[in-house]
Amino acid sequence: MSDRAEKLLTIRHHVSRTPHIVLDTEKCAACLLKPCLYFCPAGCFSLVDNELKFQYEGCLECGTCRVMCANNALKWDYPQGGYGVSVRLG
Amino acid sequence: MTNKFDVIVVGAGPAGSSAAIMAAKAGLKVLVIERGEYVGAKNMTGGMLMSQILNEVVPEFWKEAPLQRPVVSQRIMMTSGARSMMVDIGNQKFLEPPFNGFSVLRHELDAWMADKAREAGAIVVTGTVVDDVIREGNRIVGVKTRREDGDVYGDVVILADGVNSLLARKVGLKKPDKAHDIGLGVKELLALPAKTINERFGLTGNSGAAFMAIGDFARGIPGGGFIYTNKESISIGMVLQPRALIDQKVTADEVLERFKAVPEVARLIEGAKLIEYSGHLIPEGGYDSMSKLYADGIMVAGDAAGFVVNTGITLQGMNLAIASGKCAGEAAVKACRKQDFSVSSLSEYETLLSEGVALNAMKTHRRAPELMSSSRLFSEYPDMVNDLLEQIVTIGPGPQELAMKIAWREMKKIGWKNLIHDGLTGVKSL
Ligand SMILES: Cc1cc2nc3c(=O)[nH]c(=O)nc-3n(C[C@H](O)[C@H](O)[C@H](O)COP(=O)(O)OP(=O)(O)OC[C@H]3O[C@@H](n4cnc5c(N)ncnc54)[C@H](O)[C@@H]3O)c2cc1C
Ligand code: SF4
Ligand code: SF4
Repeated sequence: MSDRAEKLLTIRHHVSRTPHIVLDTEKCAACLLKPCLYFCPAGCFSLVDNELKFQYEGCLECGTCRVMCANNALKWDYPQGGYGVSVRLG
Repeated sequence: MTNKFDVIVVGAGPAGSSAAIMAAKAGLKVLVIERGEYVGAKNMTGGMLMSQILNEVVPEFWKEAPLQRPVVSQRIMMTSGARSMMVDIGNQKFLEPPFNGFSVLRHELDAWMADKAREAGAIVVTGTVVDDVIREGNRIVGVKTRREDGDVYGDVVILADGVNSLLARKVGLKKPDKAHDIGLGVKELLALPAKTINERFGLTGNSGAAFMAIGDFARGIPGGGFIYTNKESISIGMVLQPRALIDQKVTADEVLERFKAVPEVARLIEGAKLIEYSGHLIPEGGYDSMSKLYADGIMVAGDAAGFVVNTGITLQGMNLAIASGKCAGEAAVKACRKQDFSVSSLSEYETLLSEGVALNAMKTHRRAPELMSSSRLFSEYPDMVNDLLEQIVTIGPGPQELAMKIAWREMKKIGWKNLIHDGLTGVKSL
């Protein structure tokens, strides 16, 4: 197992059915550098067949993409109360 | 639950709970609203909590608070390739009241602080997101929660909703975000038996150590590593600039692996079991990036306002959150006594802040962000120091040189202009 997968497995999530972050896929398609591949500490952004794929389920709600998205393509909000990441130790 | 309060606090981190404790202790009707499933669910830290301010909010908190270890040894490590040097600032006095600081884990600490607010009479609700404020003209008179019939009214709203504070941005108190104003923190908690921790870190009993590390393990990415000893685990992590991650096409968790692979570090954590990974932003922009602290009916405290000082050697956030939360709570009490919630009445918040530690710390370390964004701090300086020490301790076949002469030559490599610039910034920011 990769280091990253091992890390991500230790995080507890209470996944809401409604995504709290929504991407404008057209803007992502036009985004050349795709910095989100590097700045997201949970690997929520990946490239599949050259297309950006976003999985909100593993999100740590850190907010890095809220600030760093290169193309203003994100609607960023908190998940519904009680949902999302739940740190056990912190 | 009636829906009119004297004070509504958004966020049950250290800032919010401190504000609630102060306001509730004075007899005000206080509501704290937290979005996490439980208090602490969204929070992580390095971390070492400096004890002075919490002692003012909860006197002798160490008798009851869930703390990990009193930190008696603060170590600063500089690595460069295979070489490393470490300074150990130890003080056994820090093992006794009033202590200096403790390693902490946030779930237990935050839960305890929220309980102190409850004990003082505050109501703390969890699992509830505040989506917006309610306005009457220019004045803020309450908050909208993401629940049915979720409007709640309060004479004063205190935003203690952390670094991403969507509310301070909505209300227009926060300046627009800038990439260099945020640091991305990633951390792992690694389980190790207390005995092993003590052996490896040279500790006895329940005493603790804190490490701040800078060096080329991050390969030129400005940012530092930290290690804190807990009772039976180690907190290890890094604070990095997202901009640099993008430039170097590397992720934060990969850079953390590089830090963990530094031989001195690897030795400390060998065989330890990963029990939790986490990530969080830090507002690192310093005094010049701070939000406006108050307006009609509203105050902002803690990370939400930007109360963090990171000098690379020390990171202060929780203590400043507590200090600013305390002032906001006290200002709310004064405003309620006068029944005046206007911006001029709430300017008392700033007065209290100026008399206390929080705003002073921000002003004192005003230049720290500039120093922290210099890649020289994280690569060339550790390199220079280690080159220097290596030459001093290595006896080679060639002619021997005086240490001072070696030092001059090493410093020349960085260039006098840079040295003087960073030196001045450093002196002004430490
Ligand atoms: C990696 C790392 C290492 C650090 N190391 C240290 C250290 O060693 N020492 C130190 O003193 N500081 C350290 N800090 C900084 C410190 O953790 C923060 O400054 C501190 O936690 C800020 O406290 P706060 O109460 O302002 O905000 P937070 O602790 O972030 O609390 C905000 C609360 O508000 C809630 N919330 C947010 N929005 C809403 C909403 N809309 N509705 C309802 N609830 C909401 C959140 O769930 C959260 O509980 C570190 C930070 C990081 C990331
Ligand atoms: S940085 Fe923003 S716009 Fe670019 S690919 Fe990522 S999410 Fe899309
Ligand atoms: S908030 Fe943080 S963890 Fe979540 S998707 Fe954005 S960068 Fe990744």
